[in-house]
Amino acid sequence: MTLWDANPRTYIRIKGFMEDMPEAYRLRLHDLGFRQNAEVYCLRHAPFSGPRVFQVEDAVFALEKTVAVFVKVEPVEHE
Amino acid sequence: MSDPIKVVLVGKPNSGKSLLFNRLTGLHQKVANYPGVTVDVTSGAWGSYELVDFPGSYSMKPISAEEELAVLQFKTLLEAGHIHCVVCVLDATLLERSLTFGLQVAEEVGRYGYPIVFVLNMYDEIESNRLSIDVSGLSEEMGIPCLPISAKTGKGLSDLTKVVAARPMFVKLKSSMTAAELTQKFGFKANVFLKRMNHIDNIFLSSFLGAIFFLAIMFLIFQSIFTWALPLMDGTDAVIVWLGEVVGGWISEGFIHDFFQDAIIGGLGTFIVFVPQIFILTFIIGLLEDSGYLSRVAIICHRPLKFFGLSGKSFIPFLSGHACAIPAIYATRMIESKRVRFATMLTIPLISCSARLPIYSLFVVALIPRGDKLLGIFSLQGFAFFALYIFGYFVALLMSAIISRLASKNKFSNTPFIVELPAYRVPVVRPLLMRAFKSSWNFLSEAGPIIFVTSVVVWFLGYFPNGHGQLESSWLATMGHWLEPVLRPLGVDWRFGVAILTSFVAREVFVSTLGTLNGIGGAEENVGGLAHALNAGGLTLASGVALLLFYSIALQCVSTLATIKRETKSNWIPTALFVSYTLLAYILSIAAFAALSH
Repeated sequence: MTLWDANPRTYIRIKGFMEDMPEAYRLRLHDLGFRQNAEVYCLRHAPFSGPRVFQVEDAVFALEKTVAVFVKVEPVEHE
Repeated sequence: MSDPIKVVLVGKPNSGKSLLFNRLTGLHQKVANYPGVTVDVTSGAWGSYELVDFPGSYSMKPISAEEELAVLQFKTLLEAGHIHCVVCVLDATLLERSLTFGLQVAEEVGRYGYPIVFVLNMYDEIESNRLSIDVSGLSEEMGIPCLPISAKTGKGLSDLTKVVAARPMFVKLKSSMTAAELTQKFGFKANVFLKRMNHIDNIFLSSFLGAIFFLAIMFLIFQSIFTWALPLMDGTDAVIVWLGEVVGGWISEGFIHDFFQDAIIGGLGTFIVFVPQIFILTFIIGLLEDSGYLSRVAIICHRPLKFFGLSGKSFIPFLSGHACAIPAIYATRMIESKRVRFATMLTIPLISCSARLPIYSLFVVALIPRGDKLLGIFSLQGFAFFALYIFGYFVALLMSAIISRLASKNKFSNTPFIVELPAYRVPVVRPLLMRAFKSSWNFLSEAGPIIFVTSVVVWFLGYFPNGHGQLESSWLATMGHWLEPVLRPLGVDWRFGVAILTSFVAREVFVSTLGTLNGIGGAEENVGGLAHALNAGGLTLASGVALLLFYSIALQCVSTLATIKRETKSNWIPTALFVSYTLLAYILSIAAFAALSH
């Protein structure tokens, strides 16, 4: 499962990054808080199958498919 | 005289850096011209210092050629010396994200041994939400002076002046704590700002309500650049006409009189008249940007435009292009990806602008009888207008797809679409007005002279050798005759050639020139009369459609070309664009004429 597949209003944890992910993308996502083991909340899918909107730490980001498919995630259950 | 000592301002986008810069420098700003700079670096006087404002950056680790250049430029400035202090602007409402960037900057600045100050901007919002940050604890932990300020209200700015004047010593970060750990220890827990933002986004980014709001806001923009700017443009035009009459009254009839009244004053009018639209559009885009809504627009439009090699941020420039390509080209500055910006900028001239309207009107009225209905309900003339607008979009998107695939991947990097959603805020009007003034002035000072010179040259060609009122026997008419073999495949004569040549200054001149050559006065207001004259002169459906196609594609606008030259800093790009769009327009027109003639 990748970040792109996350459903709206669900928590996910970042398991790692695809090997073929450009290093610059990985560094940028790291700076934004998308780090290994970080918990991310998928807020919504933008209209017209657009970018996915995620809350990570205290900020909200929209990521397009070309970036989000490089991030491996797993669902997190919250009470 | 030695250069004034510099204070460097850095920060993330949406951290309120520009507002702080405006607060500190007032109106005394200029675009700094540092060697090798291709990003806009603004500087201004702040007391005895030169305050240098770098473009907002998300990280000191660049992911595109443009960001790399901006970071490199920052490092070059640090290496060059004459730095008094670096002021890093942090958004206090997004402390962790801001500190991640701030710590990167501090590490870089520490290498050069310069003092650095962190300003926690928007602290008024922290206080109004009854939250707090342990600013002195944070300051102590990092070994960097931290100041709570509000660029919006001005609170804390006198403290900033004092701290900068004292030039605090800074060698390297005292703390090894991460941004997350620092926020945990010194920041606030529950983020009310995010909750509020998410509530509003539930409306603005929802599939149904979001789409309705989006259409309503875009409609308002369309209205503003089309309708609200109109009285100002008419007013500007009236002033220019009045000025021409006043100047004309001082000089006796003859060449000098005609030159001043028509070439000089008329030439000035051709580009000054665009200023109200540029001003209003820049102001409205600034309003949307500072309110936080522009990021949402980009997200909504991203997926459909991505298919054509564009991004969500291309939408506003395209929409603006319906009024005029010039402010629309300026609006592409908000697109970070050079390739997307390039593709957007070069296809904006294909969007049907207001200057094409008189030409569309002329041919639609000439070719389609007024009462004709489509499916017995819709006006066929109205449908023809709609089809022309859709055709403009179709060609623009097609060309975008081609340009973005042809653009060299090395030269024009494609920054991935990663957008931080800023909090919704009430914009501060003063800096927006200043931005609009700056944009208008840039147009006047840089594109204006090129447009003016071209206007004067066209006037000379239309005036000589026989003097005013003899357009039929002017050099321009001779050139129109030369064009006749080229125009024959479209089924039109030399008069259309002259009209096409004069419309290079401004497309709408096509109608008035045809009016003059057909003996119809005030043709722009009397389109019906001219349309009747053209029909009586033998204009066929095939020729009319061919000319409509030609004008919907051809880049017949020197103002647009001058603006593209300025924005791309290239001569060959506008030249190649002019040639290729003209050729494409010509070939399609010939094909349409041939198809409809049989």
